[in-house]
Amino acid sequence: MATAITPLANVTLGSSAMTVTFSSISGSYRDLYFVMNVVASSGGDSIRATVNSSSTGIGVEAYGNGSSALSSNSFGLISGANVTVESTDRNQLQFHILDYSATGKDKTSLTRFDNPSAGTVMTCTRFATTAAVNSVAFTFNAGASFNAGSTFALYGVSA
Amino acid sequence: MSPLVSTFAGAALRPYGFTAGAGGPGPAFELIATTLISSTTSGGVTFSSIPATYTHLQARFVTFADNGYPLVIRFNGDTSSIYSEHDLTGNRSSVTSTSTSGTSGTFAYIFGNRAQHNGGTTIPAVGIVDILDYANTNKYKTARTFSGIVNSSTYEVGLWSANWRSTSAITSVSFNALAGWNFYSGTRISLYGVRGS
Repeated sequence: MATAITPLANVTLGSSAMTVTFSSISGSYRDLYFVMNVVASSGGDSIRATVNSSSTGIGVEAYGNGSSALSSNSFGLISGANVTVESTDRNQLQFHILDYSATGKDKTSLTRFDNPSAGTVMTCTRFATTAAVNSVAFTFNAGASFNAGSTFALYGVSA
Repeated sequence: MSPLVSTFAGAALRPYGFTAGAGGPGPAFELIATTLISSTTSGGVTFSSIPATYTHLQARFVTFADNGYPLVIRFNGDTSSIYSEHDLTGNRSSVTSTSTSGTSGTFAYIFGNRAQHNGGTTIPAVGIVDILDYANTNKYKTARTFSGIVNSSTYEVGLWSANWRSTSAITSVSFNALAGWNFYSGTRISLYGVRGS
């Protein structure tokens, strides 16, 4: 049997970037799985994913910050709005978009985000588009950049 | 086809697309079966005759079901009272942890503590279930789930731990549908095998 997970792209930033975009994503798979290890140019910012150049999502997050477990509106930020991305420590994200290539249904993602010095987060984000996802762009919400050395890996999961 | 990757600054781009090497034991992550539902289906979805050739199982679900219902899992068609479940869920207002049925559950929840399905709309519940050491006959079976939904006005993101207190190898996995409810068109549930070394 063939493997059901296929590495599609792997990016290591050579210099800082405001946006990292995966475009022309093949519709040959069922789910997309991103693994990200990033550092922000300035602390206190959060990561947004934009699919198909326009859909930024709405969502919910639950997080622990070392003293409390809380839940809030994530405002579509896949890393959540409360435990922010650091400029010193490495920040880890695992971001799944399920049924990204299917039409007729909104696209929903699940993300686990860990900032080793600030907390751990899970988010669920819905992108209100029934079209197949063919591009995903990652940006910071408040203007930070991804530092050089940040890594982004994309996998396609077949079904 | 590999996606095109771009940044506003220089990136070292290394697109690739390998598969498992020929002559090896097979891919590390392999599709066992997928169920795609195109018309209303009652009674849940069952993957049966699961081979014992993997180390772990993973299921990935995108489900449309009757409004207000959660999602549960059963193993080997067992409806005896040997399931238990714990969860940690958020709904934009608070985080809650609950358990269901203690030592008397006849199934384990994997979604739907704080928000449930929204009926046959375009908004699905989604989740990823890892069933660890499913074929080992010396230990009880544990599954962990990461799931969620963003409805129009209700929300959930959560982690779920399910325990089936049987040492039998898991040969079938059912995604139920509590009595009387349906899966709707657009539902997709896939089962994968994860190999060890």
